[in-house]
Amino acid sequence: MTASEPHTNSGPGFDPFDLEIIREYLQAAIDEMFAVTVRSSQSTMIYEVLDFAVGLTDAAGRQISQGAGLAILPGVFGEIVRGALENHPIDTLNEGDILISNDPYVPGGTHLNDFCLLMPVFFDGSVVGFAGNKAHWIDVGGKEPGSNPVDATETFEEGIRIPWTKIFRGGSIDDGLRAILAANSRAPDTVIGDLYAQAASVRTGARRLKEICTRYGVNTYIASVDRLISETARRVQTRLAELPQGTWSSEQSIEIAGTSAKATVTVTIDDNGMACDFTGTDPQIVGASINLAGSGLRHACSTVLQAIVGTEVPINAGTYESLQVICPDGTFMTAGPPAALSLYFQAVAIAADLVWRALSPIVPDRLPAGHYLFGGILVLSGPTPEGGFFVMAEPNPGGWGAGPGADGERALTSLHGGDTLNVPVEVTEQRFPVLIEKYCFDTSAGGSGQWRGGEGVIRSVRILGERAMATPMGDHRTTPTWGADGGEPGNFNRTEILRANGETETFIASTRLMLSKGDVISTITGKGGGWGDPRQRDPELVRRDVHNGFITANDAAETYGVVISETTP
Amino acid sequence: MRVATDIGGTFTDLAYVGTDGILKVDKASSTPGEFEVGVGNVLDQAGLPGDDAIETFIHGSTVVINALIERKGSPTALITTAGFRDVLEIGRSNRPDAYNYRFRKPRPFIERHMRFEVRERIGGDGQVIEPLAVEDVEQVALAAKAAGAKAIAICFLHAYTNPEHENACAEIVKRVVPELFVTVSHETTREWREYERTNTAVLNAYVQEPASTYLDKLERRLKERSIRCSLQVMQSNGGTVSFSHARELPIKLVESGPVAGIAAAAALGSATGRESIITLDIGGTTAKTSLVERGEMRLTTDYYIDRSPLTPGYPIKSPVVDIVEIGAGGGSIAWTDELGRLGIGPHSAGARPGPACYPEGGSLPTVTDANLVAGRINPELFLGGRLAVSVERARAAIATVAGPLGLTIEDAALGIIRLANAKMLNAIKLVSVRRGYDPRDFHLMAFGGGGPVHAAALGAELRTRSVVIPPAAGTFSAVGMLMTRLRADWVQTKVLAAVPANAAAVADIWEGLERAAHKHFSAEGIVTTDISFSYALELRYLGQEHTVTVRVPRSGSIPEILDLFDDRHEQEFTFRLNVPAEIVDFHLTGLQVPPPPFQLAALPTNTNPTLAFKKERKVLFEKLGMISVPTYDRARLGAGASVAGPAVIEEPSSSTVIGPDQCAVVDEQACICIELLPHLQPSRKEPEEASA
Repeated sequence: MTASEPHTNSGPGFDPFDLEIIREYLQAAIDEMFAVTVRSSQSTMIYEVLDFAVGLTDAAGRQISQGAGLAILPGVFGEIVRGALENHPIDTLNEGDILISNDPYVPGGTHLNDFCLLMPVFFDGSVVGFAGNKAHWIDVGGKEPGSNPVDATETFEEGIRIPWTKIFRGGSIDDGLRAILAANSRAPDTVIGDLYAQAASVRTGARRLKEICTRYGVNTYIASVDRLISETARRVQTRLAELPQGTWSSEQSIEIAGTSAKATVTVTIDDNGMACDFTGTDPQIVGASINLAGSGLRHACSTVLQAIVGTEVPINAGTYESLQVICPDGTFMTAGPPAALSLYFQAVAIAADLVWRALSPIVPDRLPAGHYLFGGILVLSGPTPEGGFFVMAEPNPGGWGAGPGADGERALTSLHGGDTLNVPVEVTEQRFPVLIEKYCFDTSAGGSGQWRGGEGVIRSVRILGERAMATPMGDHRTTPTWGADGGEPGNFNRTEILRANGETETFIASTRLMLSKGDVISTITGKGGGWGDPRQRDPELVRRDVHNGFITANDAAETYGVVISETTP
Repeated sequence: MRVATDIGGTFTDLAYVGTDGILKVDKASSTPGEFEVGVGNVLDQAGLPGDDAIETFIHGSTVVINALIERKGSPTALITTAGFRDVLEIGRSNRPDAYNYRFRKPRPFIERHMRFEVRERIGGDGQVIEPLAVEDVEQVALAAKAAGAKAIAICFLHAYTNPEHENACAEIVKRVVPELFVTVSHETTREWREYERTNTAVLNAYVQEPASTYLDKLERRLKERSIRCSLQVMQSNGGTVSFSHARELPIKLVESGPVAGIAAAAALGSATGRESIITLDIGGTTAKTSLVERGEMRLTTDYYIDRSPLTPGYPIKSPVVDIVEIGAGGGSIAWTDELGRLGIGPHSAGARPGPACYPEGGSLPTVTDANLVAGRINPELFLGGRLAVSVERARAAIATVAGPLGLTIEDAALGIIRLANAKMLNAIKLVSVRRGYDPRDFHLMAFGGGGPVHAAALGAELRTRSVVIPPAAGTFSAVGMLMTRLRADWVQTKVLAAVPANAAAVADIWEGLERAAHKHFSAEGIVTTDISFSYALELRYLGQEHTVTVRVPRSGSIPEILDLFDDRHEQEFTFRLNVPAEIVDFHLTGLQVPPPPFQLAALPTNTNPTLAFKKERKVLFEKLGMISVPTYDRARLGAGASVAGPAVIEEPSSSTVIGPDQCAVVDEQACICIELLPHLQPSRKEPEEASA
């Protein structure tokens, strides 16, 4: 279709301005669903970490729009509706109903912590769409506080599993189900509070969709949705057509809880778009909870596809039309029950990083060298001095990779998060029995290049209660963050323990530790990969790096070939 | 005589009220680089007496926001708690542009080598964990000076709850390097979150020198004119503060200009019995909207500069009137793309090159061009007739988007207007519906050059009680300053369980804040009896992070407060919870008694619209198409005059468009009040859609 006849795609009789105004309206609806969740939720995982997503679909489950703190699941609401309708056909739904599930093995599933609420939107007696909200609950039972054991062998160790069912019927909550959910969490008030926040969010979305239908008519609404989806599909096609055609591949080995596995991808760009083939990836892992099920692998690939086409292209059902994902069942990227998968988001990161790395050489303007990848998450739990119990889950920002023309960014949230905020020291100390001793950049070696990888952070936490259990989610890779085009690799994410008695321990991989009063646990997030030969770096920039304490004068001379006298400012 | 001057990029506005109690306004060109000269010029131009006849001089200035946006502050250093110098650069580490893997964070205002650490530590409960190391402070103060710093910001962890280390540090710094400007974080804000507070302190320190220099020069110039009265400057909180206080905390002036219009709307609304108002200020590049509930502006400390949906910007935790600003103003550019979409903004033709219709204007179509093509603005009235605009150039520009869409120029113009209205509508919903307010309970007060053009259609769509176009809508900010008064706000974070046992602790905090307030106002020379206080708490359910603002009586009991909180939470979020609640922030507002009221315009006695009739003009309306409507001269419509729509009421700075189902009446304060025709008005008790 050419620029001279674009209005025909909106069909005859539709006012192009109506369609555009509906687009504004849909965006406002998503923003509002998002804001309601943030402002009324009960746990840091939602209101600070923004580990949730909201979305709207049409009646057929085609995703219209998505708002996300969690950035690794673009398009997930299409899958969610597909999964929900398998058990609850559309004619069994009534006005005011809200469905709920956290089943990880069905389309749109992730891990048990993620509870999704889905509300059918009725207009004139029939369903015109769905409003969904998928959010991380702080604790859903299982063998460990926080429900993210790194070494689970089966999902039954990770918490309660709820297949799609109705939590609200005609606007009234199912008290029995609510009691079951509360009884299966170590933080019952928090998760039930979050349930209400999510319900408020989907009701907001539903009300806005209805307003659109009332104001502009169902047919105009449908035409607008068709147009949004076809626009995205065409933009994705156009962008992919600009890339060189061919095949690229990469692989990554991981180690976790004493087991190891390999993932591999071959990415093909051709006239059909982008195909990601993960054939050759190892079978699902028993003894570590880093499996991926549901439609996670598709979302991992579409995350990178979205980075290639750019933020300006809205994510919707159209995003998927040019994407093909191939992988046999039963690998750790396509696991089935009862595989443990509470760390599914780390598997998504690994899969996305593989595709990213494979395509970086042909899309350097969008895909820089590797970043710290794993989110630097520390889960701490234990008794409070007042006799209570706390669960604290904090992700930490880390170093991003350099690209042509720019150093990697320092201390930025990983690909999982988008508009995700770190947790302020002052808030953490008011909330939990800990003292943060240090929150600063980690300036240890790594990431050298003509353009340098960005620094990660050090966050040191002293335990003030009698004891605490720590689950630091470290690095699962056997090689550190990758550099590109002659740039050096960054470094691993790691955890350092300074015991009250002066002994120290260092961990790279995810682990579980018992800590006592006075012990200090430091989360250190990795540095991003460098880009280009370090000897090509502008000496003026090297001088500034030294002046600002990011590299030593010694590094400047040895790695960058720049000799700096003591007195240079 | 009360005198107000408001400096904008192009014009310096003057508004004053003499002994006759009637408002007068004037305008002169601004003098960038030495804005104080423009102030002198506009005073000369109006022939204002330069002596004791002036009792109050109020000033609005963009000096602070300009120094920040253009990075024209002075070299600044930071002194902070050991282990935390990178907090300023780590920021909140978010990537709003989530799929841009080459995202760039905003660069901190202070580079790493200028961020110094000293040993000290205060805990979350305010207890000293490690004393301040005096020798560290002495050392870093000298090092900062040696590195070229002209100002020093001091921010320590938990200083919002115990400021003793910051105060001690400031004393040492002032002793060691007395020539440097010093800012302590707890004086800029008493809220928690170290990054936001550090950044606020840093930005304050950064602009201390340019703000002081500017206020000094202006004060000298005013003294030369024998103006020795109380000199006040407009703050972002909608009130004023003395020049001397402003030199210490210039960051509180960051939104000095735009909030004056909202303060004016609040004051004018109260004076005319319209206490709940949604304001809409449409300028050249943006539209701004805010909500006034029962005469009170809503304040927020969630304020950022350089922020967009794609970049986090820089937080300033200083009370600012809660404004939603969107990139849809008169100069916003309409565009089409290769997929046949039509959109407007956020790019703007600004003042240069300006809309296509301007003599030296651009070639791209803007909202102003669409309004001109639709006949909604009179081409002879731009800048009071001083700007010769071309309808033909506007049509040619609109044709560039109409062509690809296969539309007529008129249909495209109307579409652009509808799209601009849709964006403004969503912005208004952000400040109202999104926060649990029903627009049907509010009056829409519109000003700025574009406000009167769009307001009637928006009011009809939102079904607001009425649409009000105040007099002098084009210079409303300066007028607003005349209506404002000394005001100061204190926000203190103190997390307390909302239980009756804490009633005494709550009273203690209010007393402490009141003491600070009395000290502040007595330094302004205001006696206690001339001050009134209002009290608000930020509360949340246990476990929540975000809070809900609840205005409370000073001696309200805890159960009373909880009832107010539950109601407000339900209004904003549709639900209430049966769990304990906690208080997070205390917010005290101190306000001087209001200035005497004045007459906004000398109104003619004529109430017969036919005597104000100018001529018929063709105007494009959504359902009626291009029709001929009467136009009227606003200056000739007296109180009580009534005009039936469709019609246009014209004045030198703007045009008020009245829709087909509406009628307009001029009130005693010279406001144009637009309502639906009586037989079309809904009954006021309809289902509450907004809080359903």
